[in-house]
Amino acid sequence: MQNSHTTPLLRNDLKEFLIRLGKIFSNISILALLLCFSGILSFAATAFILLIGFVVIILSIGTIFIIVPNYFDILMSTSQVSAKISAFFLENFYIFASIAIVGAVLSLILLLLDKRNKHIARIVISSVVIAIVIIAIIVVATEVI
Amino acid sequence: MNSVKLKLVGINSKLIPNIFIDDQYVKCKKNEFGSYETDFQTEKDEIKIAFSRELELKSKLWWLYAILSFIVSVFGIFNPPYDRKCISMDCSFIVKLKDVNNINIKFNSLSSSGRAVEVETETSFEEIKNEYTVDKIAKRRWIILLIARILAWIGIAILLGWLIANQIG
Repeated sequence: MQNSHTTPLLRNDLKEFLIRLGKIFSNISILALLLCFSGILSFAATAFILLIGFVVIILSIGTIFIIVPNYFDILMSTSQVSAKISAFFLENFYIFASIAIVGAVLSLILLLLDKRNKHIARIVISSVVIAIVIIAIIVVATEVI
Repeated sequence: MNSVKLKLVGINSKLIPNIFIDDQYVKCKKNEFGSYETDFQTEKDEIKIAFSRELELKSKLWWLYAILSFIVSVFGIFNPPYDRKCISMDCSFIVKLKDVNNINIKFNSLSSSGRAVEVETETSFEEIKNEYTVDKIAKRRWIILLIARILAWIGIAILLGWLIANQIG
């Protein structure tokens, strides 16, 4: 019997496992990317809390201090907690960024091994993660933000 | 020399069959319409075509792969779920060959029972088996993994609680 085909349909156990690992690394890289931006997001959240707090003061023409006597302390302590969270994420930015890049690269390599099933969505997501993290590293390293 | 053109329709990411002709594994090529095709020549007057479906939990080292996946995925948090239905495919046909044979195989949607494929051909054939079944071994292993994961999570929660209590105390 002569066979003239190129795409294998048989999947061995190890390949199945490697593809699973690829999906795991892809999931990890997505979370690491979110953690990368949590610093910036929580920084924005701190600013947002303060903005809302001051808007409430202006709109209530200061009567908020009569209704809630320790309003200013509450506002400041809330923004301080938020700022601490923001500082934690910003300090560990490079750790999360490296996890995201390593995870995405490993995921790409492992998923591209699968000749039978094309994991287009995950491959695109991993590529996007790599691109975004590289841009973010350049932005943070050059201290644009 | 008899020529056989085998066309497979209905294959998707959840249903990727292994194809064997006379117990020999056959590689296929995907065409532009998303179906798989294979052409071959043989001197034989009849051939046996068989299809099977590989289940991740049927592999010999399933327990090792499961443990490694569990660890790498941070205690299963990032681990994609295993196929819960554990449906296997058992299909085999004896096809009596002419000079030119066009055989179209349409795969039915996965189900716990029922016919797995529909065969369309002008060539005469005999159906030996054609069914979807729930693989009991894979299903049992899936349940074992589920219980192991729950127990591991309970263990981790207890350990974390103990560590936190020690830190506070």
